[in-house]
Amino acid sequence: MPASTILSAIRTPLATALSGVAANVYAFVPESPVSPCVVLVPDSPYLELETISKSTIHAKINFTISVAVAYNSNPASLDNIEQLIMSVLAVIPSGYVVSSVERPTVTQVGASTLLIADVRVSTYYTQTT
Amino acid sequence: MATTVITGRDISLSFTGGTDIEAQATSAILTKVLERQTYQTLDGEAYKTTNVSATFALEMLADWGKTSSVCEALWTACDTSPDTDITITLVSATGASFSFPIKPSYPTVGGAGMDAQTVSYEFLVTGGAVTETFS
Repeated sequence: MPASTILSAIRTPLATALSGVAANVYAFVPESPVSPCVVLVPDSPYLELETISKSTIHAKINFTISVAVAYNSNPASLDNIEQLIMSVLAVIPSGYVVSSVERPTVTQVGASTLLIADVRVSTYYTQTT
Repeated sequence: MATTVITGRDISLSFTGGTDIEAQATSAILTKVLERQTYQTLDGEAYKTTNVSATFALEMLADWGKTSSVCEALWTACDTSPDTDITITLVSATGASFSFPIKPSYPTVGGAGMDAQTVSYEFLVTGGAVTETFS
């Protein structure tokens, strides 16, 4: 099995899959996100060691996919974020488990007012060297 | 002497057949018990151990479709040779190794909603025969 990192084995495949949605995709927390956007950030706890044995690191990794749209009109913004959430859920790769989607909240980011909902996603990572 | 704490992550586990069980197992517990009869005599209670048995409880993340799948290997073993033992070696921590034969059991298939699919086994240890090696 080739060497892998969390970046190459977990985050990049997820970010690549998310790049198919009609939104700006960030694999980090941007200073000024351009909406609509999808931001992939670590969740807490980030790594959970659920399997036995420590000879090889097997870890459950939790992510939050923050989905954001411009908050201009409540009904339209809610419709927009619902559609964006559905498109995100549709492209989640196999092997990634979506546990929940948190309720949308209005958040001020810089000069922008965004409607944001968090999608909780987890998967399993095996360290290879 | 300092207190020793060992966890499930100190366990190492291997099956005959080379499947990567450690990547999937979330819990592995070997239980060996004495079956002891108690007799009420005029002198009080008397005891006699009549049998020794053991079971091996394994919980794991389902790995259907994976190369060298544990679930598929056990399913095939049940289909083709249900009475043939599979040897398991469980090291609880460095210096405490337990080797024992089990009879295969079919894994459960399926899961609930958005949860990861898991499989729980309760294997019978053949003859309760656990070979322990303590350092």
